[in-house]
Amino acid sequence: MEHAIAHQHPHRDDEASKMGMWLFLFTELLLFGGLFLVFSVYRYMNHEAFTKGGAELDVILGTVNTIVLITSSMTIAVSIAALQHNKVKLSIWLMVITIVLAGVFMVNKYFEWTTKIHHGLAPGTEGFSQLPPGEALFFLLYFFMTGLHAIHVIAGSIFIGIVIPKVKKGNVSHDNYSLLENAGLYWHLVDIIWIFLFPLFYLVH
Amino acid sequence: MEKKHKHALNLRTYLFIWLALIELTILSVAAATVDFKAFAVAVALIIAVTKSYIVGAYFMHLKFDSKIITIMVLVTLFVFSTFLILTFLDYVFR
Repeated sequence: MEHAIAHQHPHRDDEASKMGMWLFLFTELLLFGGLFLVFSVYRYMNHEAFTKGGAELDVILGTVNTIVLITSSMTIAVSIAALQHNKVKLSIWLMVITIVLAGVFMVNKYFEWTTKIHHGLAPGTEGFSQLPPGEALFFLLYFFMTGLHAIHVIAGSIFIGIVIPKVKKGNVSHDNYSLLENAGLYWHLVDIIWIFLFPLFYLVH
Repeated sequence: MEKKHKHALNLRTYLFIWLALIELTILSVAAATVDFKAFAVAVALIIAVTKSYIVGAYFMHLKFDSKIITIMVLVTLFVFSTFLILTFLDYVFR
C-alpha cells in the first residue's frame, strides 16, 4: 500500500468516488431535512412558545460556534488545495487545526447544554415536565437536532483523523486525494446544517 | 494530472470566501435585532441559503466539478422542497 499511486490503480475512479459521497450526503440532507420539516410545522403551530424558547438560547455562544465551524470549513478546504499542490505538511497541519476547531465547537456545546440542563430544560428533567407543551416541544427539538448535529461533528472529526495518517504515509497524496476530498465534503455538509440550525433556533424570535 | 489541479483555488480566494461567510453571519445576527415581523424567518433563511450556496459552490467545488453533481444536488433539493411545500399546504389549509 506504500506505493499506491495513480498509475498502479487503473481501476480507480475518483469521479465515481465523489459521486458516491454526494449520494451519501443526500441521505444526510433528507435526514436533517425531515427534522427541519418537523421543526417548521411545530413552529408554525406553536409560534409564541417557540419564540419564547428561542429567546432562552445564548446568541453569543451560537454566533461564536458558527464562526468556529465556518473557519474549520475554510481550513479543510485549504488543506485539500495544499495537498493538491503537494504541500503535505501544510495539508496535515490544516487538518489538525480543523479537528481542533471541531473540539472548540464541542466544548462550547458542552457548556451550552449543561447550562440548559441545569435550568431544567432537558427532556427527562424535573423542570422539563413543567414546561408549557409548546416550549417542551422546542427544547426537545433543540436537544435532538443539535445533538444529532454534534454526533456528525464527532463523526466528521474521526473521518478527518483517519485521513491524516494516510496522508503522512503517502496513501493519500497530490495525485490521489479523493479520500481527503470526501472527508472535506462531509465536513462542509456538517457546516451547512449548522448554517440552518443557528438562525432557526437562536435568531428568529 | 495537471488537468485535475485546475480546481485548486488559491489561498486568497479561500480567505475572501471565509470573510464573506463571516460577514453574512454577522449580518444575520444583526438582522435578528430588527423586527421584520412576519418576514423574520424569510430574512434568516435567505441569508442561510446564500451562505450554503457559497459553501457548496466554492468549498465543496460544485462550481468546478462536473455538472452532473450539481444536477444531482438540484434534484435532491427539488425533492426536499416538494416535501416541504406539500406538508405546509396541508397544515395551512386544513
